[in-house]
Amino acid sequence: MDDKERIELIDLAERHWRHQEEERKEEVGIGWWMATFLVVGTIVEYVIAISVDWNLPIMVFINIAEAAAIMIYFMHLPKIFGGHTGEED
Amino acid sequence: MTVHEAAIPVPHAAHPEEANRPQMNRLGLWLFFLSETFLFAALASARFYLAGADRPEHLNQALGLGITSILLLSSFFAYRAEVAMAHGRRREFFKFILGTIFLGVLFAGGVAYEWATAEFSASEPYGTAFFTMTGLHASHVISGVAILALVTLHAAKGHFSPDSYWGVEAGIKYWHFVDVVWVFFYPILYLISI
Repeated sequence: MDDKERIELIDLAERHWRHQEEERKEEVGIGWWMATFLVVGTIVEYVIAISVDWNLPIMVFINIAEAAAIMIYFMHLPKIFGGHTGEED
Repeated sequence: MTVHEAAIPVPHAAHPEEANRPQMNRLGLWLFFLSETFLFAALASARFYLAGADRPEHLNQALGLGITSILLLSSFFAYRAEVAMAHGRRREFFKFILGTIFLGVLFAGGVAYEWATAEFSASEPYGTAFFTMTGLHASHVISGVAILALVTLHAAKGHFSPDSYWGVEAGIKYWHFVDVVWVFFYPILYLISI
């Protein structure tokens, strides 16, 4: 391997590492947004439950939204037929 | 072969059928979740069949909110553990997976406390639904804790890497599924009024 190829390889590794780090930060950000959404959603539904008598439609809406968010962002449902997480080589 | 070509592995050249395994694993897991969903949905409908929309006056709603928050937080911890494993951050992985296990045990403890202090009996229509639903769900939480403990043990032995961590992904997906079930059970048991 000559110097040019070596520099190219180091550059490629650096770019790959930077890309991975950006991806990780984005994923961590999604996690924080989700945690906030779920906790706020749960508190909101609790407040609604103790203050509104006929709360079924609101409860259904909040809970479907929460469950969908968990399945999409935490369980990666859209990647079921082609995701990259945890693939075996 | 250029450097760029060398950086891209040619997967499963010897066994082409192996290339589909991750997708097949995921599909199988989701089909399992679907079958479990029918079981939990049957219990949820039984709650309304047995007790209508009624719930006891002295239901401990604050405890319900507390254990729900704990379980939702545990899902966040589980997600962070998976992200950490995907990026090869082993120390972070162990921190978050152990946090998830701790919160799971705390949730199960909360349910046990609820059972011990409930001011209704299993012979009442609501009580029948409550103890059956929370009991079945808690058994899933306990099995989830056992699965995550097994995953942690395997990870400690170095069985997973950022390129291959299906065991971690499957265990954590199961944990999220148990969380999704509780997202519906919590309002059905504690909050809904018609």
